[in-house]
Amino acid sequence: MKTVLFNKKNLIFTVLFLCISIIIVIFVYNDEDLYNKTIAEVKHTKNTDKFEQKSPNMKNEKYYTQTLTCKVLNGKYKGKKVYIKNNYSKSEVKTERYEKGDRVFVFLTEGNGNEISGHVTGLKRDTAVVVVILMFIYAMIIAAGVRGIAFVVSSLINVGLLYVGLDLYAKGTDIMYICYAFIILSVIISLVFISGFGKSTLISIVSVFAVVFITGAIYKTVLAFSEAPDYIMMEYVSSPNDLNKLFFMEILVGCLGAVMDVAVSVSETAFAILKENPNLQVSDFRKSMKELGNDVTGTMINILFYSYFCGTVPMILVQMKNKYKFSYICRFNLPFELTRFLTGSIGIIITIPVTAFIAWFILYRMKTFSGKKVSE
Amino acid sequence: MNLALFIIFIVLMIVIGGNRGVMSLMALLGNVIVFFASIYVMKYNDPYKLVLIDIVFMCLLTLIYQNGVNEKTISALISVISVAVVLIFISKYIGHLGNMGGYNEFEMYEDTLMNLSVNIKISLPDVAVAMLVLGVTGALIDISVAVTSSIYEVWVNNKDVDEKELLKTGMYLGRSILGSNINTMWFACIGEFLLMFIMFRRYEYSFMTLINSKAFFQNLATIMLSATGCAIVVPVSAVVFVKLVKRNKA
Repeated sequence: MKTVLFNKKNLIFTVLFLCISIIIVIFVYNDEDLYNKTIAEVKHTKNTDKFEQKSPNMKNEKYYTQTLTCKVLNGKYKGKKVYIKNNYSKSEVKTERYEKGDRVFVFLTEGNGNEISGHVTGLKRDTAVVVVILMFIYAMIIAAGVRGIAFVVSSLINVGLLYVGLDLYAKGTDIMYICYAFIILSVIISLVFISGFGKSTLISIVSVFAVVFITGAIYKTVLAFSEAPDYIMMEYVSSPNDLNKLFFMEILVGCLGAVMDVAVSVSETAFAILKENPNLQVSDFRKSMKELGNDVTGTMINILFYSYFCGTVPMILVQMKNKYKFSYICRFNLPFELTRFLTGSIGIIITIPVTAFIAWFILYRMKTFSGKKVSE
Repeated sequence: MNLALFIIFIVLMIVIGGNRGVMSLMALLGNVIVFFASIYVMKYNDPYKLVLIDIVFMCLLTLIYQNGVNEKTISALISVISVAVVLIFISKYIGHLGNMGGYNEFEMYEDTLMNLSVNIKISLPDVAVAMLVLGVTGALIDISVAVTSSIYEVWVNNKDVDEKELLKTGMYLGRSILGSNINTMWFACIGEFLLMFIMFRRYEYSFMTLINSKAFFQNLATIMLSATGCAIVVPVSAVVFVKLVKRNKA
């Protein structure tokens, strides 16, 4: 199997890439001097205590106390050895367990007799972040070669756009304008990356905008006729003044990926069909579009479902263990996920007819117009 | 409000999708039932065992029940289950590297969760890994089926094609399907990132704090690990199917 990475021609590239990634990981693992906060490496752990915490409505849970022998890596106490106590529970909901080799942020204070004591404030996760990103890049290149690289680049551009947008938001620009600009730019960039410059890309871009507009309109209409949701219950709520806008934007951006993909596959096929058979009857065209779209939508809707709901599981579990009724949990914790999922799915479904119509309009109608001109 | 959206969703699905739309709705319903049943049973069970049972069940339902027993579905079954198992191990390792489970710094102080007892006797890091793998299984099955059926088409038409050519076909189709599946996940995730980043801004997180934050790592690891699973399943299903076909022929 010849892929980009294992191709003989690209051997140098592969070796270089491997070396660079190893260097990056080693660098990030040892970058404690870049931090202002004190970092320590856990050299040794020992479980020193075990106790049970009783709770009113459940069985008892085991708690452990571990003593971490840490070596401080930077700051005032660099090189010193400190002993830190850490409590963790068996289910690790609010507590964390640390192991030998972990690097952690610590808060240290000096006692009376030069004794340093302190506690752990969090794990240093930057190495894990780099490892997971590199793993993704490798997997993409192995599975999809050059297209994989293109995909990685386009996602990086999207993240960059998001970053710039949020910068503007922090400076006080209305989130609506930022998000419309983000949607317009990222749709154009992503689609050009996926399918290049060309008429079918133009069709996809126009249809994605149309779909986003219609989806937004449907959402707004439904919202106007029903009770407004209690946005305070949303996840990651920071300031309450523009939550409704933020949620609206979250919905639109969330379904964008799926909508783009369905639009691309529909418009490419429409383009191919009409090119092969320019005098196709509208009814035949409609039929073949319908056949095609259905293959894609089911999958996309399933992916959307899992993307939105899997993150809520730990929270649901904790509440269920606290004897909350399932219906209560659904009513108070899942409505936002549900709204996002349903609106996104509506967007995905309407993409097929909208794209087909726009493809037909651009390719078929335009041709008849130009055809008439020639005959005149 | 959700009821109104739900009705619009069902109506559009039936009107636009027709018979196939109804079938997709049924498949979605199956997924929803599996998902909530799993959460319900997870209260009492080991998340890993449960998620493996789920995966086998989902495979049997979508592969064997919908497409029958043949080389395509058997090899898809083998590759999906093996990739899922590998993904469990990778995610467990990565999750351990960055302590993925448990509440993140925002959930820790959320009103709804504040006064709940956290003595739940289930390991939340294990739950996080299990849900990640369960979430990606549907995509794995789709990609795998697409790859094996595309190779099957080529092979049926010309049984003398050599292995390399067959693999190439599978990889080629896998590529485009992979791209679109990951794109869907990516943007669904960016929607969530949007709010999280705004929150980071409000609390004036520096870049260094951001990349060491648990909330960021949880979201990033979920999307990256899911995408990795989708990527590995392409070559795995291509190889498994070609090997299976060649062995049966010999």
